[in-house]
Amino acid sequence: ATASFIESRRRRRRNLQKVVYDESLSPDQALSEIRGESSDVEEEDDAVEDVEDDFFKPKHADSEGISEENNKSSFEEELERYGKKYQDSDRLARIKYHFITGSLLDSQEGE
Amino acid sequence: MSGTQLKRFKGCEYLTHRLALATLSGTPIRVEGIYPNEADPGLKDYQISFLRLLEKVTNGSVIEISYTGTSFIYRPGNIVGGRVEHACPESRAIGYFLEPLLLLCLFAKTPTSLTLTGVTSNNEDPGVDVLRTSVLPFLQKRFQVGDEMELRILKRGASPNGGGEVNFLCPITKVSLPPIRVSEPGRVFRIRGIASSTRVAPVLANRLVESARGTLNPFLPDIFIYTDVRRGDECGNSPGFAITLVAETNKGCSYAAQQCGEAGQTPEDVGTLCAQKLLESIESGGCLDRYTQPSILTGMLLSSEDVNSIVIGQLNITSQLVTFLRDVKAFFGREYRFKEFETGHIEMSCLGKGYLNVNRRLQ
Repeated sequence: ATASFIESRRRRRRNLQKVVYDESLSPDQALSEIRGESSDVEEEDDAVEDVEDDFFKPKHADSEGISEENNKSSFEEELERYGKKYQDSDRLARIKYHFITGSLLDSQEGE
Repeated sequence: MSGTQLKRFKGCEYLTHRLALATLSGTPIRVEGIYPNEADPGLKDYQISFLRLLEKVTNGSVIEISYTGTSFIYRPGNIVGGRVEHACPESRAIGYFLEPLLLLCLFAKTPTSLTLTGVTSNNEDPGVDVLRTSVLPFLQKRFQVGDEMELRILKRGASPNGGGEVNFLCPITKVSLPPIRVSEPGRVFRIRGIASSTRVAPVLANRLVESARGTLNPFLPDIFIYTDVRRGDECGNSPGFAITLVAETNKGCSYAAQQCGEAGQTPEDVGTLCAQKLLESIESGGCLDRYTQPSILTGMLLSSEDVNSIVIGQLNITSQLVTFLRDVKAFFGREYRFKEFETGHIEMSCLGKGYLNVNRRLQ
């Protein structure tokens, strides 16, 4: 995640300060802007689809602020996601650097 | 106080912190558009409960909720503290109600003794163990408030029926908080944890410990996870088990992770997941985890007039943080400055307000 995050930040060098305090963006939009997820294209697609389906579905994901609640993922999903993430031995070696037991010189040396 | 202008907000994301900030700044607010399109529109029971709790902690607060519940006006009064009891609804954990009040109580008229009953931990809100073993020590250390700030877990109550009880003791501060400058997260040198269970076989707690240790032991030998098995009168109405892990660094920072077991989940999975969440938090780095962040950022804002800075990891940037920062700007007119590092870490800095406790009794 770290590497991809830095990469994406390099790609779209947006001023963090500006984005955070830009009131025209909702907090969620600001967040995807900061994370560098290209939101513009996808969102337009969503909007078009929404018009057709909207009528039959109960509206629940309204724009203003329920992300506190709607970013919950199920236990099984989380378990799988984290399980996959922390099986990668390169990643584990990198994490070692954050522990006092890790080598001070090189995060790869480890053990 | 009635002279200050009513501030308007739309939507109710991160409402508790907005209310806490409004109380600290003494700004009356009007919040509109609260879940207007849901089948059950308007304020949720836990949000109303938090408003009632604020009403108990303060004196002279006025709350007006509209007929449909989709908007309300809150005019904060003085923070008085004292002995307060409050029953939290079971839909949220006690941490949801307690966490925004941690710093608020420091600026009360009298020392606070807050007794809250309800669910002690769930998977959405900061659990009481996280508050007690990670957030409070960090606040005590950074803001030098001493040991009187204390959280006692009298009874544990698992979701859905709760029945837990905690007691939060908080002194008052006579001077403004010291500024914070933390740039080095340091390295993790020990991990502590608590595996707790209520109304289930004690072996479940041991299985939690076992699995969490299994994931973490390759990194560090110094791991100690306590078990806290509650039975009879010491626990609430529902069976449940939970684990909290706290990693401490040699520079005095800490990362916490928690996971509660729900029906049908094995303690092995829960323990492993919690350990992996802890690893994620450690990997993201920074000097704060997401549980400590709001309190510390508020404290930085209120501290004596000096530059405060803290380094955070990219995992700390959430939509809640964005909302929080905008709210801070609305109430106090202060913006935080950001400085990005090549490592992906971000330094946030702001100038303290030199906020003094105006409510305390003069001797």
